[in-house]
Amino acid sequence: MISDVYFAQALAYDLNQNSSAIQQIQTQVATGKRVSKASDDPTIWGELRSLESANQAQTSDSSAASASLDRLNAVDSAMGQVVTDLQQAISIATEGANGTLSAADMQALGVSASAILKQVITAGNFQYNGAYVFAGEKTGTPAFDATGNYQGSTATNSQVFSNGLSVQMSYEGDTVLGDATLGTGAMGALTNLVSSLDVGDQAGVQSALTQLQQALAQVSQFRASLGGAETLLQNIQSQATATGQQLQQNISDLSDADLAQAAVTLSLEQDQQQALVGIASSLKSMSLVNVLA
Amino acid sequence: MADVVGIGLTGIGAAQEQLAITSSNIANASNPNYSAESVEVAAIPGTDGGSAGVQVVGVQRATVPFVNPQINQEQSLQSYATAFSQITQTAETYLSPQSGPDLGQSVQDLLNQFLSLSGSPEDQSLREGVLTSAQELAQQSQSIDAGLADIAGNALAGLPAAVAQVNDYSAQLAKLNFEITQASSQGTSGGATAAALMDQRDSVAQSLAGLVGAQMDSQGNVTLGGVPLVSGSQSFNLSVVTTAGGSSLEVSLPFGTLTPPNATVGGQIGGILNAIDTVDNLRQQVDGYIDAVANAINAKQTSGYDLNGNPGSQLFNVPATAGPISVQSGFQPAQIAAASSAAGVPGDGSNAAAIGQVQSQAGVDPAYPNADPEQAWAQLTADFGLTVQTANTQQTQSQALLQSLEQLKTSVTGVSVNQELTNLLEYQNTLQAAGRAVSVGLNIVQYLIQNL
Repeated sequence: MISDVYFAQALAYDLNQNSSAIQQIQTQVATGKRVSKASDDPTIWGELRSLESANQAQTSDSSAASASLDRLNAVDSAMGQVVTDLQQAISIATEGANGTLSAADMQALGVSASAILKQVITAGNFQYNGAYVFAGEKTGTPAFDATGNYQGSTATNSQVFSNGLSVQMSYEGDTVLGDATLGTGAMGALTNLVSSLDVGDQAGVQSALTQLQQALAQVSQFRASLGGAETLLQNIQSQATATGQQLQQNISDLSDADLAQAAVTLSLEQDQQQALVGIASSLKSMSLVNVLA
Repeated sequence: MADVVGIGLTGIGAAQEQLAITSSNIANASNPNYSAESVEVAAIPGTDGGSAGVQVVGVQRATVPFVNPQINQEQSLQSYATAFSQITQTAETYLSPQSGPDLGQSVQDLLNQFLSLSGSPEDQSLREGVLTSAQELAQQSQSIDAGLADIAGNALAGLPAAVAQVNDYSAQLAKLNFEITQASSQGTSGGATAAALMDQRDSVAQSLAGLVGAQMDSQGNVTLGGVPLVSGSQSFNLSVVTTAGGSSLEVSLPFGTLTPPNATVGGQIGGILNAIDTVDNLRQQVDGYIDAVANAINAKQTSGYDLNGNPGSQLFNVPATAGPISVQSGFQPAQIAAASSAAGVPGDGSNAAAIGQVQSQAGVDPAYPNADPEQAWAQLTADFGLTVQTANTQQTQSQALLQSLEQLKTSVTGVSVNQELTNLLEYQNTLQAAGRAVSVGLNIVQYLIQNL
């Protein structure tokens, strides 16, 4: 015997199940996510978290690489000015070494060379966001004093990325531009040039010319290494972007709701709901009460 | 001829009783706790070997004795799973917030900020970024801890009211047991009353099973984990006992108190008790996780040097026992120990890099010795997610099974209006026919009186 309560209970249960299914689909459609918490699917939650963590690291690396690239570009630009300065100094030295100039002419050239020295010292004390990048770790104080002596540290600093890769961000200035007192590099060559021109020492000017050419090669070599670092940073940035896109795709594959499938299921559930409501309304007309009335 | 009248009258009486029961059945057709009743009739033996009419023997109540205990058991499971699922689902929202990063992502964000600082340790804005992330992480830790504590606290606060309801149900059952005994002793006249009382008792027993998982036997006695709650017409008081070790139930019996083991407590209260333990355990795990991460960062911090060349100080306050973290009061961006040596200040960021690389260090949280912080968080949340999912599944399954059992029961005990209408016609015809028999008998008597 099928009792009336039996029908009512069965219908109520089916309608509740149906409403629950519709609500679940509507939540998926509203959020666009199939998995937004661990209990949605604990099996893939760990994998999803791993992908999201990697994506977060890639985003952070990309941002750090971009900031580092800006810094290296600025450093490279400063060194580009040093190259121009050294080329001018070589011209002066070549003119001063040809033996045809008077002492006064040489002293005049010495004044120009002195100005170039000051420009190179200024370039050596280049600051990026307040940091003296050629002072090694002593980024809070100028790398060179007013006469071109190096006063930074021998240790340098690097930007470290999530995969452990590092790119140098501060430099030991004397290995790039030399030191005036030690007579090395650009600082030493320019100091020697200025002093030789001041006293009309043609041999000294000739020696300074050779030094200047070596200093120019040294700066060019540094710029080449900067170019290598810039390429590395660009690679980190582009790789982070590409990997990030792939990770985002993988995350989407795992966690996003299949909207097409959701729409189909929603339609089926709504049809079922209509059918159940239809059965409920027809129950009354099926009763013997209507026949006997 | 008097027999004709007398026999007809017994038929009228029986038909009236049947019509009354049928009316009662129709009136209760939509009452899910009502069991259809029927009138049991028997022939009255006559002196001449035939029958001398019909008599009502009693009122039968449709029952499915073997289904009721199963329904109560399943009701207990379903209520247990529902309560447990609701509380743990709420707790999970603290692990996976609908917007913003979760705790694991905030940890990684902070460690990534340290890595970014490594390239420009003198950069004030990067230092401020690290400190802001640290403060956000600490606030999130406090918010989760407070949220989980609130969930467990609110659940605990709701227990006395639920237990009071249990005691009310127990008292009702004891009273019903007494009334059923009384009604049954009244023979045929008490049959319908006893049947109605048994329906009430089954309904209250199911509510009690749903509330605490107590089971009733066929005599109306109720036990919880072997401890009696109702014995005949006597009920025993249940109460909640909360100690530092957790909460449990206690039954006051005439000879003392007995504690049903928590594992045997089912229903809504059992679900709440287990959920409180589960959420408390989760809270300790989350606090343990964030404390471990904060300790790892503090250890690196104190081995480095800040922007002023001073030895690094602890960034986070970490409680001695598991609890939420906070950033040291007055901690300044310059106090972040990015440098590994005093001589390296301000341009050395190697200690900041070392702190950032904690993100790939296994065993930071000792509870997950082979996992880095992100993996540990993923595992912690996945474990809890599995607990919630299992409860959800159990709730769905027990709901379906309960529905199935209730349908099985109502297929036997429920009222079919169509059936009752048919009965109504039948009993009406019987009543009319019996009346006709009495009428004929009286006509015969009258004829005989007039003609003799």
